[in-house]
Amino acid sequence: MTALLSVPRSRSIVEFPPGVAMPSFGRGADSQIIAQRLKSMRTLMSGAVGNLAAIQDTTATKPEIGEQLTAKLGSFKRLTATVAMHLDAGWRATLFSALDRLLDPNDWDPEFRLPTEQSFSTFLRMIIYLHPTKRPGLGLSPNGHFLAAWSRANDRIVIECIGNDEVRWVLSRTLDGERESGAGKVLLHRMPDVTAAYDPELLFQNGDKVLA
Amino acid sequence: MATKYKRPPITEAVVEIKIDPPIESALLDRVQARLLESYPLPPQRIMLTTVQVGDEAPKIQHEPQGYKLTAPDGAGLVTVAPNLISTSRLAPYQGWEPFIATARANWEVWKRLVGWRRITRIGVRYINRIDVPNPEDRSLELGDYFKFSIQLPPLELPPMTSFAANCMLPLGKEQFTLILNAGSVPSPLVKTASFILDVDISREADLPQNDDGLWTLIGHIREHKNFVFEGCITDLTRELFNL
Repeated sequence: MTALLSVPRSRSIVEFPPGVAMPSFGRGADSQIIAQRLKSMRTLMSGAVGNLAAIQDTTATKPEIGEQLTAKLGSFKRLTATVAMHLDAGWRATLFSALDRLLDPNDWDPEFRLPTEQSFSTFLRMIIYLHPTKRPGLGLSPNGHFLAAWSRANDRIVIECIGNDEVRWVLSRTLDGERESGAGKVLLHRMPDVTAAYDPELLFQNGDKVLA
Repeated sequence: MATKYKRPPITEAVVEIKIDPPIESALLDRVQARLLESYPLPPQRIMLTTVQVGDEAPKIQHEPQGYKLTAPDGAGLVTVAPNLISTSRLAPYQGWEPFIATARANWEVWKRLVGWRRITRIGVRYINRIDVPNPEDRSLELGDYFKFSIQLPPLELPPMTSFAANCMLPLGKEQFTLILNAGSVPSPLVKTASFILDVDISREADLPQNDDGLWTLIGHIREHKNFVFEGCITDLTRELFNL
């Protein structure tokens, strides 16, 4: 009997399955998944509580905001590497410039909460799922959520990436001469359905390359 | 598995060189400091945690074992430990030549500070993630995407929800060993099923103890890992890399 796989829905890039030899030393997101599995397998076979490897941020004990922002920046760039094969190289460079700007210690508002990996994960998943051809404007909310905005003339959509695939959207459009607005909070995979009545595709398109 | 595809599925390429005897921690710190010039993002320390369980309360010890350093773009990594140097490239993968040039440059930095020590293992590892769009959340037939299979008993069970396979075997060429990991993983993408295909080729015996021999042998691994990868996937899978 050949195997079929029923795939559970994922909700984040920052998500690892329960753990399963010693291949060469890798340090990317996927190698960590594999290392976890292999560690469990080794433990099963050896039956011993042996040596456990771990990674520590060297800046974890340094509370200076500048170092925290630099660590976050590195974390977001590594997270991007998880899905970078799906992103256009030019847009990836633009995205990194935006991150450099948003997380610049010299311009950081101390009233803002640090952005989270969960929010950035949702942002990346949203970009690949909604496949806009127009590059969004990027921002941060005071509570550490990434914001993506698209506009055309007076029409606009702003999507706040809360995390764990949850997004909050606000849209305003002029349809048949009438100004209409809508807002909601949904899981990412529902976005096309709940915004369909506003025909948001026009906001997402202008021919710029976002995906590879 | 190189740039022949529009969107290579490689999430991490690794070249690892292990040496003996291990280097001292002060020397390791010097290597780390030198490599930081090219890998300036905040370094991460690799800790070895040992748990001793006996009659008394368990004792937990944390010892620094090495450093993981990251390039400005977050996609270039180098790991240094007392007995190894490992260069990684995360996505987007830009081909064998630039990757090996970086690995070789890092090895030159290591060698300049450490000198030549006996090489005990070389390994080249390519971790691929195959993202299959699955808008209808349907069950997938593994045989459509892979040339290996998971044989389940004829029990008419529902489809499995995940799988993992790990095997080690001689490659049958140049004394190399192949470690193959395959499995399903939570997809980083929405409405997508993802699979890992991890190909690690290494050798521990009769290793060359000079630069020319070392990099020639690593060059041979390039062909072997492509042979293994292409032998594991179907044309349908190849199409995914060019969508």
